[in-house]
Amino acid sequence: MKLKIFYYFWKAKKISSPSKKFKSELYDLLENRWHEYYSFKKIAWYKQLWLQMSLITLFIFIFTGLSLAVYAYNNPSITTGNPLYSLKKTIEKVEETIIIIPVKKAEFYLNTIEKREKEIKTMENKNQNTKKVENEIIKIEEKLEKTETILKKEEKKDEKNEVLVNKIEKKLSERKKKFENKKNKITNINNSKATSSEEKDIKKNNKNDNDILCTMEAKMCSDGTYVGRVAPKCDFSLCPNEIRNNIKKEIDKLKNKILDNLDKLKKDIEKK
Amino acid sequence: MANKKEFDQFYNKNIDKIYRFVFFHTGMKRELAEDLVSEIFIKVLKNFDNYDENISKISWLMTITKNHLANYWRDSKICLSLPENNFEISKNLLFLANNKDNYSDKELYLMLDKLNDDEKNIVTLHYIFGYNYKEIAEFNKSTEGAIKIMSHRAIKKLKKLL
Repeated sequence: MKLKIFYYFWKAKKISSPSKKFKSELYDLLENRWHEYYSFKKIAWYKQLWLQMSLITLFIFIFTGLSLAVYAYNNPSITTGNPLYSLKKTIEKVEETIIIIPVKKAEFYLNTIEKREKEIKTMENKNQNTKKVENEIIKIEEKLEKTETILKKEEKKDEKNEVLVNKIEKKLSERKKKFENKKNKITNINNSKATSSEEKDIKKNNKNDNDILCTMEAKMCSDGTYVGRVAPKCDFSLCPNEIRNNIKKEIDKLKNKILDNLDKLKKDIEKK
Repeated sequence: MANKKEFDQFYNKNIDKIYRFVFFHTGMKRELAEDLVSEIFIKVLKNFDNYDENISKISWLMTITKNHLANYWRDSKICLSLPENNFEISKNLLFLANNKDNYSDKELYLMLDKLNDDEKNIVTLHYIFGYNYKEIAEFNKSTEGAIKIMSHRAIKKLKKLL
């Protein structure tokens, strides 16, 4: 009985099955359609992988570049010698060229001076040479003075400029004071350096005499006395006999000199 | 991008089942079934890239087939005046058995009519269309074990009736 049931099912299945020809034809049709739909050309431009990847990389580059630029622009610890310093400078140059209004330009110069001052502070902490930055500040100050004159001309028209002009004058006077203070400091340092070098030499000499230690040897003199070694050369000091002999020799030399002089004088007098 | 190999495997696995399903739902008209099946697979190909992985692929294909058949019935308004959106397989089979006098296997459909609706569905899906128990469980939102038990009971019933 069970077989009969399965026979009915099998027969129904066989009748309702697709022919091999239909299956292969449909497969071919689908394959053609597949190439039409999923070939490279048919993919929408925004779905293409290479374009997506390149856009993503471009976005990453722009994002990192911008973030680095912002970091460099606002950070006073980025000074000359830092690879980001050139980026900082280019941004400032671009900003300088873009700003046309004298009020804004003056504000920009004031800000840049403040930035440079902060840079100098950090450089001084690191014991770096600050001459370049100082020269830059001088140049910016010159530009600031120029813009100040422009602002003064416009002062009558716009009263708001007064505040800015005052600010500029304050800043410039501060800078001048700072510059003078620095000058004084440098001269003081030079003077102190000179004096200290002299003192150092003396100290060195003293130190040399005091610091040299000679061996504890003794030399017996002909009169039976003993003499030790003496700094700085650590030679034996002279024996009392030798000292006496030397003094005698020097006295004799002096006597001879005096006698010669007396003879010369006598001869001169005789001639006269 | 859609994978061609994956699509080929999907096609080979489902072509027979879908064809049988369409064949029985179109009054056993071979040419019409072939047209509809090719249209269904072209639809599948177009949407294969957008296929949602969370849904079972066979259920996805079955919904496409059902929607396509529903559209066909709505547009044609002809032939066997099958009720729209009626996917009760056994009812359709019975309908065919009653209307097609010259069809030789009338006995099978009369025999199936003696089973209840769920049993009829499971038996036709498994023994005629060729779906396995796991797939039928997915269609009916039931467990594989429950489907197996129901199918076993249905065969037993048929044995007694014969």
